[in-house]
Amino acid sequence: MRIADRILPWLVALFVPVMLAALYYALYASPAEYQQDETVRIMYIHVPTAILAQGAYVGMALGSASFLIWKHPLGDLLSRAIAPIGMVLCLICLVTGSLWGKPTWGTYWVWDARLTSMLILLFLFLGYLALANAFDDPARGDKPAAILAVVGIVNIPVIKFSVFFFNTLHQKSTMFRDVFGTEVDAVKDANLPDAISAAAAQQGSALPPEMLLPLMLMLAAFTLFFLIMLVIRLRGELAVVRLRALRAGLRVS
Amino acid sequence: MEGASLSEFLAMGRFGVFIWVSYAICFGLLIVLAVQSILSWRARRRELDALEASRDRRKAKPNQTGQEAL
Repeated sequence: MRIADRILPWLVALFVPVMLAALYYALYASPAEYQQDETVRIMYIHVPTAILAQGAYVGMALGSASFLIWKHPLGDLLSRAIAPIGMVLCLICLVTGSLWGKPTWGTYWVWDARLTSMLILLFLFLGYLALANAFDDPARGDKPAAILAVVGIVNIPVIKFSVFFFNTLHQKSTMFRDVFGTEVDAVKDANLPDAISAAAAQQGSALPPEMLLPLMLMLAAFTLFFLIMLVIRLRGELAVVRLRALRAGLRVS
Repeated sequence: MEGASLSEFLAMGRFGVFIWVSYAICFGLLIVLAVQSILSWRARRRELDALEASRDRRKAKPNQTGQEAL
């Protein structure tokens, strides 16, 4: 925790310029897409929040698993600190996706596999927070919440592969196309012009560099934001544990 | 968008509403999360400091009475 306290000012100092640069490129210094026009700019916040919301859930599930297996209280603290951050990122992803869907798909919401599994992710975060804080003695909520977090991990591969297994409005990943060898077929599936498929194969992503740059900057900025929030919330959770221990001690004496 | 005038920039083609509302909600929620995280940490910290101070006072008292007894 002392290390975390020391890197916090550095994280903030790094976050501000990266976020400003990301916003500059995302909103101003990048081109419009030829079919989606300017709405492609929503991608620069939609994709990073989607990736980080899922990453946050994996972190939360791992923390909970370590808490259940080794009874290490730090795992529980980590999960409790991550849950609200993940919930907010997931909510942003759903709202921006919805606002992107209206102009491009013609609807704010469809009950298809990708969107529904992402909504379930939001409910898992909410359910975890509700369970973890449901008891007057917060220590009693630790275990049920941790079990929910671990069981809910099955949803993560469902989100990832929902665009391959089901017929859905949501497109397949553009950013990681060809990075995973198995997804090469996806490029052909998407009826893309051969020139784009060839370019994708060459540079490892079907996204052109001038769009990849703002996306990567935004991903870096959101990751830094996530880490900053994580340090602050971990401090808060640690204070709760100390408060609990102190109160118990005062009652005894 | 490069070289666009301010009104063109704000209009974002004809998708200004969707884009600006997306960004506003996104950063609005991030700010709410940041403020809530900092405020709740501070409140707990203050509570902890107060409790620690009262514990130290309690510890100090028995010592004084102990010394008087000696």
